[in-house]
Parts: sequence; C-alpha cells; structure tokens
Amino acid sequence: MKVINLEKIKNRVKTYFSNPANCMLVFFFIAFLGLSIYPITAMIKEMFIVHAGIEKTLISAKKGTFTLYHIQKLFAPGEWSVTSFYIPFKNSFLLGFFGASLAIIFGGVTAWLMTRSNLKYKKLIGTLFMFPYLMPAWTLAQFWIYLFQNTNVMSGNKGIVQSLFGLCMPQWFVYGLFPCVIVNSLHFAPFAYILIGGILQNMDATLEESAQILRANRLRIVRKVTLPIVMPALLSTFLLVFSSGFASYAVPVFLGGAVRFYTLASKMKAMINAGYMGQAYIIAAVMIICGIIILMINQKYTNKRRSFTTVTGKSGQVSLVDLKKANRPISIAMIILTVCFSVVPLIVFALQTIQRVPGDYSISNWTLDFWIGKDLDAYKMGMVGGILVGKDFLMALFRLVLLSIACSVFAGTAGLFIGYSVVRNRRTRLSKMVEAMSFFPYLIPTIAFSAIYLALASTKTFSFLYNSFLLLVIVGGVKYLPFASRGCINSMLQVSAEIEEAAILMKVPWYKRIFRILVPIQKTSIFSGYLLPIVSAMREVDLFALIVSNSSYMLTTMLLAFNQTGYDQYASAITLLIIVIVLIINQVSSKLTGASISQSVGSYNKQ
Amino acid sequence: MPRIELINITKRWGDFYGVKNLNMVIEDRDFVSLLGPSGCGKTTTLRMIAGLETPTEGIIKIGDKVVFDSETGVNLSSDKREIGFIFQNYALWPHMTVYENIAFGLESMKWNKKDIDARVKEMLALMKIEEFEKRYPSEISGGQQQRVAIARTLAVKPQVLLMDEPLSNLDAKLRLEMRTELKRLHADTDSTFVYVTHDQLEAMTLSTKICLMKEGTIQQYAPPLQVYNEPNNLYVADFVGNPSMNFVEGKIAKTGENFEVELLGYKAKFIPNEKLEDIGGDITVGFRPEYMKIEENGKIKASVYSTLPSGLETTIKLKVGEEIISSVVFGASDYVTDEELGCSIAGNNVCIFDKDGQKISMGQLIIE
Amino acid sequence: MKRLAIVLACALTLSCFTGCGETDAPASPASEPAAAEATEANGEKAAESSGPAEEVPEFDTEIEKILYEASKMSDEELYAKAKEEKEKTIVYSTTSLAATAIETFLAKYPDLTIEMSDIGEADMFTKLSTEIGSAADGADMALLQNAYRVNNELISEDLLYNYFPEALKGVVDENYQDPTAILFVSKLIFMNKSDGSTEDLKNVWQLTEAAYKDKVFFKNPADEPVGMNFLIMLTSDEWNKKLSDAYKSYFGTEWNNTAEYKSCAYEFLDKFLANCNYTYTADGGICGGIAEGEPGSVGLFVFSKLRTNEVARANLQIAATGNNGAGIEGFAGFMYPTYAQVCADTDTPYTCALFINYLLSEEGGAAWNNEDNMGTYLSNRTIALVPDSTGLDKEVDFWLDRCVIEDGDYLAANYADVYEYIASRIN
Repeated sequence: MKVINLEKIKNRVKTYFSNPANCMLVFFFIAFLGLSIYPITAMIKEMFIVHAGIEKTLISAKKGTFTLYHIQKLFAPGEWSVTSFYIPFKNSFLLGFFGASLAIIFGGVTAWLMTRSNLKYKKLIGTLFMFPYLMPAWTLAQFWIYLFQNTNVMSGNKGIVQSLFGLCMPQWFVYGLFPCVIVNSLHFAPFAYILIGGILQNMDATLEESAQILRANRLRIVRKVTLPIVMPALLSTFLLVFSSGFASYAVPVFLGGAVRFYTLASKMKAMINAGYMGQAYIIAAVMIICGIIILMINQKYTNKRRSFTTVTGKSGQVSLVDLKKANRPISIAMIILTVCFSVVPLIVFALQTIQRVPGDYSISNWTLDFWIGKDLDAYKMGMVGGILVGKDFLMALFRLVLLSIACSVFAGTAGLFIGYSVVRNRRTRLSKMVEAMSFFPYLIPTIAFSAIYLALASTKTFSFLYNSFLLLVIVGGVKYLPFASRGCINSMLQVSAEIEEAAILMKVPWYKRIFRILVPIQKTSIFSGYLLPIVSAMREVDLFALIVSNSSYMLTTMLLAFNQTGYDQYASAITLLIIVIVLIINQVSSKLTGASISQSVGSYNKQ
Repeated sequence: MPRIELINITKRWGDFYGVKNLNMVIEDRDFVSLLGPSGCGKTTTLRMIAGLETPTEGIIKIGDKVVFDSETGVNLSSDKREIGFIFQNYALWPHMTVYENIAFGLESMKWNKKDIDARVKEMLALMKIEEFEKRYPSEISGGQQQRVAIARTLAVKPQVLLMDEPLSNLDAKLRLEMRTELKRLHADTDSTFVYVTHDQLEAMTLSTKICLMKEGTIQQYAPPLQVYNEPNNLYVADFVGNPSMNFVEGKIAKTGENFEVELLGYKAKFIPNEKLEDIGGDITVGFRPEYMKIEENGKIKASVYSTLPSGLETTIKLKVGEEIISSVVFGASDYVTDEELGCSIAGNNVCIFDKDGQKISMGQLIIE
Repeated sequence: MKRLAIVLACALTLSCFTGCGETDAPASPASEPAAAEATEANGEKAAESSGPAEEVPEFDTEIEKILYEASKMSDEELYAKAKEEKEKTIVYSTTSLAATAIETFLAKYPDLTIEMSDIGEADMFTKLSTEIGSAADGADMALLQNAYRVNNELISEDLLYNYFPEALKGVVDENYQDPTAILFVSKLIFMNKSDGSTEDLKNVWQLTEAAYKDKVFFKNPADEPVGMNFLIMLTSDEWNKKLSDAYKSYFGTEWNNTAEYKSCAYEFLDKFLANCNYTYTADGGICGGIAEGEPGSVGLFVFSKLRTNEVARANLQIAATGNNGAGIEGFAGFMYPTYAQVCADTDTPYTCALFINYLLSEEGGAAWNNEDNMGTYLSNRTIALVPDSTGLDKEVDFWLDRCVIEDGDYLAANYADVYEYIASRIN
C-alpha cells in the first residue's frame, strides 16, 4: 500500500525552491506563459468577433458578436482569398526563401573568403560588410529606388544609375519581388556572414586538412566536408532569415507598392486600414504558426544524431587558401560591393538632407536649413526648424537613445537570468520549455504585438502603463528578449558549472555568484547580448508607433510621421542620424568592451 | 623509397621562429619521433612535411621528389605528397559514418565501389572495429575513434605516415595498448612513420630514432637509447628519462691524468671515457637515478627524504646536504623516512655539463 | 448630402417628443438645462432650461448632457466652467498645426491646461477604440479624419460625442455640424506641363485612356483611407451623375454600359484604377515625382505641397484651373474634413467645448487660415480665406463645387460593397 508522504513532498518542494536557479526558472515559466497565453487568447478572440466599422456592415451584427465570417472570407475560394491571402502568402514565402538563400550565399561566400583565404583588406571589408545589417532594412529599400528608378519604369523619375550611366533597369528589377529579395538578402547577409564565419572559425581546421591529405581537391573538400559540417548553422541561419523575410513589412511597402506586390505583413496592415480587423488577426496568426513551424524545424535539426560537438578545437593553424592571381580582383570587387551598400547609401541620404527641392542634385539647390535652419517652411507647418536647432528634436533623440538603452537593460538582464536558470537546469523539461517560449515574442508580427500590448495597458490592472515610458520599455524589452536570452544562454553554457560550484561551497550567495563570477567571466559576450536590443530598438519604426503618446515623442516615430507627411529631407536626416548613432554605438562598444554586433549575432547561434 | 629529407628548413612568423634552420634525414622505414615540449616546433615540422604549413625557407624531399623548395617555388599540396596524417583529435568527420570516413580517401582517388568496399572491410578488420561500421564518430569511444582515424589514414596505403600526438587524448591504459599496436603496425606496413609527441616515454618505446627539439632547433637526433645514455646536452638529459636525471652543481679541476670534481660537499675523481682537454671551473654533474646506488659502505651520507614504490621499481628521494637526489632500485623496497644511508655513484655514464648546459664529457665518478 | 440634415432634423423632433424635461423657464446665461433623469441630476446644478420653446432631449450619459448644455453657452460661461475642471485636456490630432491653435488658445484662456498629442492617422482609431471606456487615461478629444471610420467605429459605438455650438448653426453648413468638421483639406489633380506643349486635361475620362497607363500617381487607397473614401463617394448619385455628364461630353454618347457595370462611376473606377501608379508612398513624393517627371504625368496630392516646391509650381498645372479656366470636367480632386470630437470618457467636457468653439472661430482657425498655408479651408463660412503667399488658392466654394467630398452617411451605407470592388482592382 502506498502512502503519500506529505513530508517528503514538502521537503522536495523546499529543496527545489531553495535553489535560486529553480525559482527563476519557475518565475520565467509563469511569466512566459502569461506573455504567450495573453496574446494568443487575445488574438484568437479577435479572429472570431465582429469589429466596429466595415465588419459591422458586412456581417450585419453588433460589435463583439461571435462570427466565422473572417475565416470563411479569407480562405474561401475566390478572388478575395487569392488577392488577400494566397498571393501575399506566396510572396512572403518567396521573399523569405530567396532572401534567405541569397543572404546565405552572400554571407557564406564572404565568410569563407574572410576565414579561409588570403583575401586582402579583410579588416576594411569586414567592417563595411556589417553596415547593411546595422541600417534599417527599409533604408536600403529607399536607396534601391534612388539608385534604379528610371524614366522607363513606373515613376518616371531618374535615379542615380540613369543619371550617371544612362542605364534603365527593367521594371522587375526596380519594383516587386526581385528588389525585395535583394534588399532583404543584403540586409541579412552580414547576419549569415557572422554566423557562418563563426562556425568556420571555430570549426576544427584539421577536418578539412585531413580531407586534403586523403587526396581530395578543394571543391570536394568544400562539398563533402565544409558544407555538411556548417550545415546546421547554415540551416538555422536560413530559417532565421527566412522568418524575418517572411514577416517583412517595410521593404515590400517601399519596393512593392508600385507594382501592387503585397506580403502577409503589408496585407495585414492594409486590412487594418480598411477595418478588416478579424482577417488581419487571422493573417497574424498564420504568420505566427509559420514561425513556430520554422522554429520546430530548426530545433529538430540541431538535435541530430550526428552531433557536431567536434566543431571546436585548434583554430590557429588554418592554412589559408591562396587566391593567387584572383586575389586582387576579388578583393577589389568585394570592396566596391561593400562600399556600394554601406558608404554610398549614407552619402545619398546625406545629400537628400541638403536639397531644398527633393531630387534635385544641383549645387544651387543645396541648403543646410534642414539641419540648422531657423526660418523654414516646415517651421510654419509646426516644425521647430532645422533638426539640430529644435529642442523637440533633441528631446526625441534623447528619448530614443534612452528607450533603446532601457529596452536592452530590460531584455539583457532578463536574458541573463533566463540564461542562468536555463543552463543550470539543463536537460529538464521546464528549462527546455522556457528556452523555447522565450522565442515566442519574436514570432508575433510587430503590428499585432503593439496592438495587443496597447489593449493590455488599457485594462484596469495595467492602466498605469498607458502612454507611459515604462510601457515602451516593456514592449521593446519583451520583443527583443529572444535575442538577449538566446545570447545569454549560449554564453552561460560556456562557463563550466564547477566555477560556480566552487563559489557555492564558499557560501557565496547566488546574486553574487552571477554578478561577481559569471558575468565578469563572460562580460564581453553578455554585453554583446545587450547591444543587439539597443541597435534593434534604435532602428525599430513600427513597434512603438502605436504606443507612444505622441508621434514626436521619439526620433523613430517622428520619422514615420515625416514619411507620411512627405518631409523627405527631415526623414532622410533622421535616418542618417539613426544609422550614424548605431554605427557609433557599435564602434565605441567594440573599442571599450570588445562587444560588438558581430559578436552578439555570433553568440546567437552557437549550439 | 620514402626517405624524407629536410634541408635548412625555417619557419618564421614575423620575428618569431617556429623552426630554425632544421636539417634532418628520415630514412625509409624509420619510426622517427619528434619530441619536445609544446611550442618547440615539432608539430610545425610535421605539418611542413605534410604540406599543411609552408616553410619560409628550405627544401623538403619525400622519396626522390622535391615537394617543397623555397628557391624554385615548388610547393606540392598535401593531396599530392602521398602521405598519411593522423591528427591529435583524429579529425573524424562528424557527419559521416565510420564506413564513410574510411572510404572517403579511396573515393577521392576514384577507386571503384567494389574495391573501396573490400579495402574498407579490410581496414575495419585490421583495426578490429567491424561492428562500428555504421555508427557516427560521436557514437563511439575515444579509442575506437582513434582506430577509425588510423584505418582511414592507412586505407589509402600511404608510404609515409605522419602522426601528431595521436595518443594524447586517450586514457593511460588505452595509450599503452595503442603503443603496442602502433609499433606492430609499423612493422607490418613497411612505411616510414614520423611521430610527434611530448611524452618521452612514448618516444623512447616506439621510435627507431628520436629527434629532440627545443625552440625550433634540433637538440639531438639519435636512436632512443643513445639519447638516453649519451645526451648531447643538459636539456636532452633532463627531458628524457623518468625519474629524471640528477643534476648537481660542482667544480672541476685537472689533477695529473684525471680530474678532480667537487660535488655535494665531497671530492671525487672523474675518469673521462674519452680523452679530455684541460678544463676547470663550475660545472653541472648529471647522473641517472639508476646509478645512484645505495650501499652500506657508500661514501656519500644521505638520509631518506621519501620513498615512492611502484611495485616494479622503487624511487627513493635522498637528501644529501641540501640537495635532493633520486635513486631507483628494482623491485619493491621500503625505507624508513629520515633513515641514514650510504650511497655511491656507479657506472661510467656520469655526464659533465658546462655552464651553458653543453656536455663536456662522460665518464666515471669515484667519490673519495 | 441633404440626407444628413434630414436625419438630424428627424432625430431632433423625435427627441422633442421623448424628452421628458418639461421645464421652460427663460434662460439665464449661467443656468443649465434641467436634468433629464433624476439619477443624472446634479443637485447643485439642477436649474431651469435654456430656451422657452425648446424641449430638452434625453441623454444616456452625463457627458452628452453637459455637451448639450455647453452648446448653448457663451464662451465666457464655458471658460468659467472649464476653469473648474482640474484635469489636463489631451487632444489627439492628426494635424500638427493644432499645436499652433493650442498655443493661441492658451494665450487667450491662460487658466486652462490643454495639450496636443500628434497621432498618426492609422493609429488614431486603434488608440481611441482601445482607450475610450477602458481604464486607460488617454485623450479627451480628437481632431481626426475619415468620416467612415469616425462614424462607424467611434460615434456609433458611443466612444465619441459630437459637440457643435448653437451659435454657429447658421454659419457652418449643416452637413458639417454632426460630426463637427473644423476644416477641409484638398487633394487636387495636377499635371506636368513642363514642356508647354502637352494639352491641358479637359475631362477626367481622359485619365481612363490607355495613354495614361501608370501615369496617374496616387497614394495607394488601401494605405490611405481618405483616398478610399473619395473613390467610394464617386459612386454616389451626385458624383455618378457628374461622371456620366463628363462621359457624355468626352465620348459624345450617353453612358449605357449597364451590362458590364453597375453604374457609370463603376466603369470609371475600373479603368481609372487600372491606370493608377502607386510608386510613391507619400504626397511629397508624388509632387516631386511628377514635377520632375515626364510631361503629361498626372498626380493627385495635397495642394499645400505646391507651396514649398518651386519646381512643382513651375511645372505643374492645377487641373481645376486649366483648360483655359474652364477646368477639368468630372471632378478636379477631392476634399476631406477634419472632425473635432469629444471622447466619451473625458474629464474636461467644458474645456473641449470651448476649444472646439475656438477652432471654429477666426482666431482659432488662423492656425490653418494664413498666408503660409494653402489647400486648407475652414468650415466656418463667415471667415474669409486668407490668400496664401503663392496666390494660387481659391475660396472654398470654388473647390466644393469641383471636388468630391466625403459624406459619412453615404459611406456608412455603401462602403463595404464598393470597397471590395475597389480592393480587387488595387491588389
């Protein structure tokens, strides 16, 4: 006969919770449950109710009534579902797929050249190659238009390429899927470059050398040894970039609008504009489900039988491939290519800010009014003057920087504790669940994400958050948590448990163990974990627009307003400023602490 | 056939010399160990022979073929040098099964499927790893991985087999076992082995010749016993042998035909084995522990500092004045700590080194 | 468009019958109408009603009642009441010029606290429908656009209340009293005539010709609701008639394609949308784009863009004034009102009312009605248009004749149908 031993259970529970790592894990589990269940239920509800506006008329029912109309309408065969769902879905998929493939090819080839060949000017190329990742993706989209628009296609305006070389690119080249794919892949190529480069650098060079000694030629080595070994990293890079491309919004808006090229995200926004809230939420749900599927594929492939534990080891003795005669041309081509998509856009944006009439590049049209002017047309339109003169502007800049830092402190610190508790409970089911759940916020489309949090803040319990800075910090922090926690989990994995155990035996309390032992050991990689949220928040446009109390609240929401009202010079000036600040933050932090974006991305995927 | 010749090989990174003006001939069917502490250039030398590292200067010949010549610019890549290489961490490809790992080289050489299969089966049998054929490297033990690495290397029948500390990742017992296997393999395969190790015992037991290196230069290149008994210098003497040689500071002066040495507070007569020039002044006297004899009427008064019996032999640490001297006796014997004993230095293998550590002479030392 | 007035009149009449306030004492300036329900009566304020002949309608909420009462007060009375309101008044606005109006408003009424939040057009509806009635402390009133969504999502859901001052009933067109419109903004048809030889636009049906394929620049109506409303308004009887008239004068025959299209306007939409070019995502882009683009390109964008762009002024012709002054037949552009509405959960109804009065006055309207602004017109017709510095603008009546303007009722009834017709042509 079995008797339930209450005392035993009590003691077990007590033992379990006496370990701070366990407490934290349980806390995060509950927190993530809330962070996932609340949005999920909120979204499911939205999918099945009638909203005010057009839905009320179409369904002829009162607001809030249960309905299956949205699902039927969006998926039922016919023109509506094709243009509203199936085509955008196809476009999203193609954009994700080709964008990710190209990003991996660009990034992978660069990574190989940088780690395995005697390419020249590596340092310069390495720095410049990162630029497109630090810039918001839509700035590249805008740049693409400035470059390639021409009088033969749609707009009727001359772009830089036409002005300089008289070249007119065809329509498919300037607008639609193709440029979206190129821009997305350029934006994410640095991401792929860092991840693949990291693997190549950590990969035991002897694996390739032994193949060479066994009479394999270069091609066979790459095909049979290098590629298969970096494949898991390649795959997870692919999936990550794929899901970003799949959910991309701003790039298709810039490059797709002209040819009516919609992705799921841009369609979702159009649905919201038209008042089809239910269908918009269904699209959001589809995007989340796709994200989860991608995540699951990724998980499956990183837990394979052919474990890649040997992917570490001596790396100092890599014999670099001599590019011989091709070295100079390849090096120069790489420099030209990277300069084209790093320095040139900055110059173009800079030029935009000094044109009195946008698009007129003649010197007589130049002015510094938009930077330092006091008597401006825009001034009378409610602006304060040149952006460096106005107090509002500087406040908005200050708030953006403050918010970015606050978000990263939130995300980074939470990430640190998640990393600690997950790693110390490695192999328990709860730890695996917390690790997987920390990824959830990443999957919710930005527009839906902020709408859900806006609604949350208007409930009685959380109403103190409404229109508050804290709400912005929470939303940004939660959204970027996946980056931070992933990075921290990986950096914690690299510290052996013995180091902490030694401290436990010396009766050092847990917080001291974290902040005096673990953090100092991994400070560079942890700091890198803080850097990615800063940079992401700095260039994030859509996430905060809905929840700021005023669109001039901070620089990015201001930018959005300028884009809408069409003050191109101001918009360009802000864009330029944001990019420059991000570049400065990255440079300064890599000089001061050794942490840089390349590192924080790199730590993202070390399995 | 596969005779390896290194002529004036130098490897330099900036101002740092990895290998400095190295000359060495490895005869056909030799088993040469490159021995030395980490950073001495032994692995670099091996990798230069393999073509994984490019020498800054010099010539490398394998067989009659010049595979590298800095003057003429000849530099055959590894795949054309017809060598085998076993890496310290085995470098098995994690994404291939044991079978695929072994078959890889043969596929590179465009063998047909049937021959590959036969050869792989043969190698699996030779290394006694048939049952692991379908497993991935991560699913077998270190020793088994080691065997796979050897099988993979031998499958292509290399005339020269280069090994970079292949046993260092194995546990002690397995290491001993594999040593035997390697020596047997050398006898069976008729190939030239070049073996990198920092373990002097491994070098002693396996090699036909040891090349002891320090800071990129050869200290001594000779058969193991010669290295042991007639070390070129203090460094070699110290590096080889366990427990290591006893070194005692002393003074030497010529007295008539012989020399008089002061050491450990005693005076001794030194009879060199070969005729010796006039010398004098500060020296270091070196003698192996096995020549430190414990005898009842030994002239050296020592006290037992500690005793380390291993069963087969016993190392006794003796305190003579302020110096600790090791002595080894065969079999198990026990001494009481602080027991007073008498000792003498036997044999004619006592080494005399000058202040720079170069050997001046060897001979017999008689304590007076 | 008269329909709104009729509905309003009916509603008023009805409320006269149902209203149970029977008091008819003469109005004294500081007095309040009697409480409709005892539960709503505020002991302190219970007093006589304002007009001898007027019945007081029934109100569901206190705020509605206050707004009704406020509509009958003078500015001084409102100021006195507003001063008693302790909370700060937050105005959500899609137009940043409201900040200027607030500045002058505060100079005139220094004891009040009022602040503007610049909210993007798309976010306005999400924010208001989320926060009003919830625990969140957000806006007290809003200056916003898009008659369809204002009516359907906010007013009909009792999230926004209308306020219109009694005193101005004669000077603002009845159509713009409920919801109260403060001003109108115009988006006009422009054509690049930089080469001088391109013929003027004579008729909107020209824009449906194959020659204009991808040459009609327009902000994608899927992204710009007022643009969508304008397209939907074309199917109204009034504009359908104007389009068929234009059809007749352009093609020489009466429109009769009922086999393919529901009405003339539908045919126009079909062919017009096929020619539209959505390359630019902002009006500034369209303006600059066609100004520097090929002669003959056509664009629809806000008039005010012309003021800051010399190239555009030089190269572009306003279709409404081209064609030897006769202008383009059919329509010359569209206009959309900016509405002022009070949030149902405001703490400061009197301040809101006073501010709306101010916006409707000459002083308040000056934020928009000045020489640095064009293409914006006040709904208060007694205030003369201040000519802008370019001299291109015209009085509001000129534009109201030629431009399509949103009508909340028509949109409410027809939006869904026409939207999907249009949506299938812009995807």
